[in-house]
Order: sequence, then structure tokens, then C-alpha cells
Amino acid sequence: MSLIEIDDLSACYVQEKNRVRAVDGVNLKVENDEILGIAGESGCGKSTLLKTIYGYVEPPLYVEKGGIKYNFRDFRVDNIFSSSNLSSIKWKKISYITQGSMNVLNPVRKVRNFFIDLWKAHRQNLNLTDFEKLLKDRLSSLGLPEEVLERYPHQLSGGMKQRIVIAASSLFNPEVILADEPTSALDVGVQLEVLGLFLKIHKENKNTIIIISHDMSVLVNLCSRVAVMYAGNIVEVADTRSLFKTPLHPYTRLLIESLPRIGGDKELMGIPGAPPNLAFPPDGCRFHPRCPFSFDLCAEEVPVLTEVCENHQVACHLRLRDEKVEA
Amino acid sequence: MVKSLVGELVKRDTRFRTGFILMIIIVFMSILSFFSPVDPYSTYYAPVNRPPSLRYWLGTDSRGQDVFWMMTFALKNSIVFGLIAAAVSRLIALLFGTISGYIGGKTDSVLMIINDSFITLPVLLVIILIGMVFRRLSFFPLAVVMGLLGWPWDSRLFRSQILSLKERKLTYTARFSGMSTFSIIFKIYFPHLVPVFLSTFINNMIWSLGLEVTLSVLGLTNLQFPTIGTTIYWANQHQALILGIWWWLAAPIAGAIILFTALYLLSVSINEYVDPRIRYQQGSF
Amino acid sequence: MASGKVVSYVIGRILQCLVVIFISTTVVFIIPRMATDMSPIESAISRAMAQGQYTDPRAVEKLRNTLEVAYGLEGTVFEQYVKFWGNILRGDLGPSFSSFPTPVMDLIRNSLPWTVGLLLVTTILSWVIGNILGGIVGCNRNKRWAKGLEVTINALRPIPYYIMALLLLIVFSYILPLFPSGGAYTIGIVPRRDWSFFIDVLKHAFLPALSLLLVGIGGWFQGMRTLVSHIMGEDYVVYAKLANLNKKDIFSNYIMRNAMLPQITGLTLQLGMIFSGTLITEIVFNYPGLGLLSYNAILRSDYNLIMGVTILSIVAVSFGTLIIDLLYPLLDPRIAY
Repeated sequence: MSLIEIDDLSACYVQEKNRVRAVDGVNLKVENDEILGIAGESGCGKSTLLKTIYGYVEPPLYVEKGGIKYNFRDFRVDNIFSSSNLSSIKWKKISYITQGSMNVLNPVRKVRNFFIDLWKAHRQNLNLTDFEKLLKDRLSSLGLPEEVLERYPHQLSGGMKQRIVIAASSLFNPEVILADEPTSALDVGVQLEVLGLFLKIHKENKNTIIIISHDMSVLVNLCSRVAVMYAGNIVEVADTRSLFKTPLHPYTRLLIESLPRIGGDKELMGIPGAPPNLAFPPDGCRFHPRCPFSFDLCAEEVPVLTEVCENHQVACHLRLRDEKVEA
Repeated sequence: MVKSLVGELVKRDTRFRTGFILMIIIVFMSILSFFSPVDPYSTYYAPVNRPPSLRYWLGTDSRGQDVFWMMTFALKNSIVFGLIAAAVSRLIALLFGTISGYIGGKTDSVLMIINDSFITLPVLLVIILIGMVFRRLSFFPLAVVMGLLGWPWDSRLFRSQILSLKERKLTYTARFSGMSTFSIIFKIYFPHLVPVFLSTFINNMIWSLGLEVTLSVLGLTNLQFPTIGTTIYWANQHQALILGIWWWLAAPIAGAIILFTALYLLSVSINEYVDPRIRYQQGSF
Repeated sequence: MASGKVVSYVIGRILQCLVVIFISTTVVFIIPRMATDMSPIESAISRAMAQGQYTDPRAVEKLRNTLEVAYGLEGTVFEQYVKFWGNILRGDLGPSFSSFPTPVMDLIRNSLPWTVGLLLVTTILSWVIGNILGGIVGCNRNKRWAKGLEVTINALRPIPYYIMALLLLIVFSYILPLFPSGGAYTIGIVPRRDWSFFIDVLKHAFLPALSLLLVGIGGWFQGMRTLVSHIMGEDYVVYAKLANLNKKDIFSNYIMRNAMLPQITGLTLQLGMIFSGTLITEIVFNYPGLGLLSYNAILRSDYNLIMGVTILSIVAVSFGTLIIDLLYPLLDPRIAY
């Protein structure tokens, strides 16, 4: 039984008279004890998907159809959007790291007050001194000195703020940590350290981390499994190794090939064209206008995400056609 | 640009619509004054203290004047007064704020100190002083004086707008492509300032009108000149409330409330329109 | 904390404050000297003569001299200016004309406590209440009660102080005789320090205070509501919501604490207006503070008295602004001296 089962989920933003379907018919299973990466260009719906997994759905974002089931260690949640025990899940079972941590801390209060607010909201059965000990341990395991609690956010560097955010999200040992572009705003050296922290937390707590990045090189080093999103759909899901060795979807291939390689003298390629306007997506397979391999079926029918080899799913008529031919 | 602003707001915002309609009523009343059969300066042409009737729609007062026609003049004069005061103060505020914000440095510090000096002036008292010295300020100069005293607050506003515009890329682009300072200010900055200009214009009208009412009630302005304030003054002088001539007070008070409410609604909705974040948060279907 | 820096900053701000006072007082000084058509002395004399008393030219000359000294108009403008400042620094604002020779300072001293009481109480109350209400409504923008509250308070906001005072007077003193219609305490009672006098004072102060409060709340309310709407979209509020912190904590610690800061700055800008509003309300209610004093001064053309009140107001507002400015960094950790 998977930890999270996303079933035909569609969520859209309502703007004036348009509906922008940022998540369209997504089916995904997230397992225990794995690090799942979600890759894709800006605007493809990754952040929206993460927000809906967390249950953070506020206007103008609406869930149109579908649902998410959660199978936590001690209880099940069948529908997070109408769940009354949402408050017992948020931050205790699932936590969330937002994109860009520059301004997420209250500028007029010391850092320690934020953690005390967290304690007040989530762990009243731990008394304050025990909580503080837990907090200090967690901070030092992430390389943060105790004094950081007495500082104001504007006195801290970007890397320190990111670590504080990671500390806050892992503090109550949630079963799932959702991280939205946790390394995008950081220097390369700090990026490496932060990735290391994620690995460390994962190893210590055996939890699941879902991490979004538009930078494939970040995902290849951290994740056990990677899902690729394009224009609101998941187009490929596989173990990291097999995804990078044998990418099946043309979009994935182009993404991987656009990464520069050390010592390579290959010409750097981008992906031609631009992502579609999600208010008026193209018919059929959404990638077909930019796909070098598209044929007539691609413009008519939406390809379904199907398992093509072991632990490797793809939504592409090309592969499905080959499959059918081979079968 | 102004036309599209107005058009959109009338459609979207109930408050703007209400304010707009109220304003139109008032402007209509003011325009009626041009067709008035009576001369606003003459007195005792009608029977005194008659309550509202078909002949005298808002009754008559103790000075033998038709309250209705007096109100049309009062509203017209009040609007003109507010317009003059607001226009003068906007110009000064814009000038001060732009120069101070754009040049910066020592000029900025000096100008801002002068600015602050004017903010601390208790305007009411200063105008009273002026009134005492110059005896019965007549209408037009009074409006100009209001303008000369009403700019400091908003010049800071314009200044901070200019400061933030200066830092934006559009300034650098314009500079590097060789635009002269003058054209940068006029062609690029000012269009950005239009909404703020409008909303502070209306705010300033409200402020100066309020001050006019206060001054007139205190008897410091040209009392023959019909405005909302002078009407209340005369009503008080003739003990209207005690004698039961309530319509004499009710008309200007109602006129004042409608005028102020209209202006206020307009200003608030323009303010919110100018601020894109609030528009976004209202959600839209 | 480098105390040297702090001290120099504070001194700088105090100097700035003094310069501002200097400039505005000079403006006040200039006004009577701008009267080219008819100087105040001539108008005072012509008024006295109209009463039919001073026809002897020597007496008129003497009157003119006395008035010149009293108005501070003898000698050249420069001499007047120097004398003017000399007097002020000694706390002498000159004699009042209508209550000659009572010094202006004494008259002000008697009226000041009433105004200060009214002013302080209503300013603080309207700031606090307005901000809290604005914050609550700002957070719950789409609920029906919030919208209703907003419309009500906003309906009160554009009403000028005078009209609001008049309205309250008419409704609660004439139509429903619940409250006394004027004065600070019942006529004839000797002020004493006991409970019943205190209640009497409160009863008399209620309507003026209410009038100031109603108009004042609107301003703070609106400003706060707009601020809170902004702050709701800030990253740290969104994050606090994501972390599922207690709603009460989010409201007070994250939203209000941040929204309060610009409102404190706003207080400095409003001090002048609040002062004027208090004066006007006092006039309507015959409240024996500086407002009534000024009104009587207007009626009797007591120029010196008005000038005294004006200068006092300039000094008070400037120092008030200074104090708030100096206290502000204590509340906002991002700003260091």
C-alpha cells in the first residue's frame, strides 16, 4: 500500500473568466521511505501539485476533481480536502518547505519565537524544556549554532534561513516532507550542503521526501525516483537510474540532453518552442507542438500514463505504439 | 487613460458607482444654480421661515431666501472651492515631491525639513490667524491659501513614489538610451503617478472643504458668499435649531454629508484600484 | 550597541525638530506683518473708535503705542523678530488683548488640562480600537459581518468633525436629553477631588469624546485594513498558515505586529489634524479647553492669544513627532540607530 495515492487529480486557478488547469488528471503513487523528485519547466504545475498534496488549496486555486488518499502509519485519510483532521496532519504527518525562504520568517520577532509558536500549535504534550532540547539537537544536527535562535531574520544569511526552514519542517518527524525548489535561491556550495541535509534527515527518520526542482542535476543526486511533469500532466515516472539512462518520453530526453556535461564538447541544446498556455492547452498530447517525434495520433488523443517496463511509466503514444507492436 | 479607469470602476465597484452617482447628483444641483431665478446675494425676497412646500422646495430661511436655490449655489461654490484648493496643493506637492525625490542628497534633506515644518503647522489656527489679519477672506484667495497649506503630506507620498520609480529598471533603460531628465520625468514617471494623483486630489478636496465649513461656521470667511459653511453660520446666528427652522440646518448638513460621502467613496475605490494586490485578493469569478 | 552612534542620532533628530519649530514659528510670525492694506493695530483702533470712546487724538496715539508693544510691532521687523524670540524663550507669549493684561500663558495654562485630557484619551482609544477592528476585518474580508462593520465605520469616516459634533449634540442632548449639552462640569459646582465630581466630569466629557472617537476610528480602521490585506500576502504569513500555527498567534504576532509599524508612523502625521479636530469639537460642546479659548479669542480679535495657541501647538506636535520617531526603532528590529 502506497503512502500517498493521487487519483485522477485536477486542480485549477480561476482568473477572470479563464480556468488555468495547472494539475490535470494526475495519477501518482508515492511510497514509504523514498525520495521522489518532480522535474519540469516553470509553470508546468509542479508547485500546484505539491500544494494540493499538502492540502493548501485556497482561492483562486480550486480542486476540480479527483482525490488523494494517505496511508500514514497510524491512520488513513481518504480525502484530505474534506478532512476534519487536517490540523492533525499538517506539519505533524506532512510538512512543507516553500519556494524561496528569504522572507518566510517573521521580520519583527526573534527566530526562537517562531519555534515556540510551532510548539504551541503542535506539540503541547511535550513540555517547553524538552521541546527546547529537541530543537537545539535538531539545529545542531543541521549545522546551526544555538545562537541563531536569538537572532532576527534579517541578520541571517540565505543558507542559514534555509536550514532553519528545514529544521522546522523535520522537527516533528513527519512521514512526508514536501520541498519546493529548496536549492534554487542558494549558492552552488550551499546547495550541496542542503542536499546533504535532506539525505541525512531521510536516513535518520526513514521518511519520504518529495522534492521539486527544475534543475535535473539536483534530482539525479538526491532522488530514488523521479517524475517528470509537463503542462499539468505527469509524462514519465521511473527509478532515477533508469530515467536518466533510458529516458522514454521525448520531453525527458530533451531535458536530460540539455544538461551540460563535464569534459563534454557537445553543443548545448535548449528545447525549442515554449510551454503552452495552461488556460488553453493544445489538444491531444500537450507536448506535441514541440515534439520532434509527433505524429497524427498525438494531436488527437491524450496519452495515458502506462507502465512500459518495470517501475517505468510513460505517457507517450510513441512508446505505447511500440509496446502494442511488440505485444 | 482616465476614461478607461472610470469606466472599469463604474462597472466593477459598487462603492465607486454609488459615489459616482452621488457626485452626479451634486454636480447636477450645482449646474442648476446657473438657471436660478434668484440672485444669491439678495435677501428678504421671499417670506421668512416657511417650511418646505411645493413653492419653496426646501423652505425659506430667516433672511428671506429660498433654501433650495441657495443650496445649489452653496454646492457649486463648495465644489469650485475644493477644486481650486486641491489643484493648487497638488501642483505644489508634485513639484516638491518630484524635485526632492529625483535630485536627492542635500536638496532632498533641505526640502524635506521645509516640508516637515509645514506639516506641523496647525492649519486651522494658521488660517484663523490669516483670517484675523486680513479680515474676511474672500473666496478665491482663501482657496489658494488652502492650497498653499495643504501640500506637505502628499508631497512625501509623491516623493516616495519617485524614489521607488528611480530604482526600477525602466529608469535605467531610459537613462541609458539617452532620455533627458525632463522627458524621463514627464513621459515615464507621471503616467505612473496619475492614479495616486487622482486619489490624493479627491482626498485634498475633502480636507479643504471640511476646513472651509469649519472656518465659515466660525464666521471667518466672506459670509455673504453662499457655501455650505456660511449657510450653517447664518442658521446658527438666527438660532435656527431653537426656533425650529430645522430645514435651514438640515439642507446644508445633508448636502455636506452627501458631498463628503461621494468624494470619499470615489477616493477609496480609486485607492484600491491602484493597488493591484487588493484587486487580486478579492478573487474574481 | 554603539552608544556613540545612538547619541549622535538622537541629537541630530532633536536638532531637526528644533529647526522645524523655528521655521514654522517664523511663518506664524510673518503673517500679521504681511497685512499691507490694514494692519491689525489700525483695525483694532478703528473698532475701538467705532464704540465711540477714543476721540482724543493723544489718547489714540497712546493706544497705538501700547498696542504696538503688545502686538510686538514696534521697531523694525528685525527688532521685532529678536524680541519675539527673546520673549518666547522666556515662556512669555505676550498679553491677551481681550483679557488685558492677563498673560496668554496663564490663560493657556488654565485651559490646557481639559484639552490634553480629551486629546490623549480619544487619540489613544481611537488608535487602539481602530487598529484592532481594522486588523480583524482585514483578516476576514469576505465574511458578512466584516463587510457590514466596514461599511458602517466607513460611513462615519468622511463626516467632518464639526458636523459629527453637531449631530451628536442634537441627537443626544436635544432630542434625547441623555447628556449635558456643554461645559466640562455642571455650572456652579466647585471642582473638588471626589467621586461625584469625577463622574460629573465624565458625563460632560462623554459626548465630545464620542464625537472625536467616532471620526477618529474610521481613519485608523481603513489604514489598518489596507495594511493587513497587504500583509496577508506576505511570505511569512503564508508560511505561518502553512505551518498551521494557532490563528490567534498568527493574528497578533505575525500580522498585527507588522501592521502596527506603519500605523505608528501614521500617528505622527495625524497629530496636527487630531489637534484641530479636538479644537472644533470643544467649540461645539463649549468645552473649556484650548478650542473654546481660541473661539472666544476669534470673537474678540485677540490676536496674541491665537498666536500663543498656535505656537504651543507647533511645539507640541513637533515634540510628539520627535518622541514617536525616537521610539520607533525600539519596536522594529530591522532598524538600528
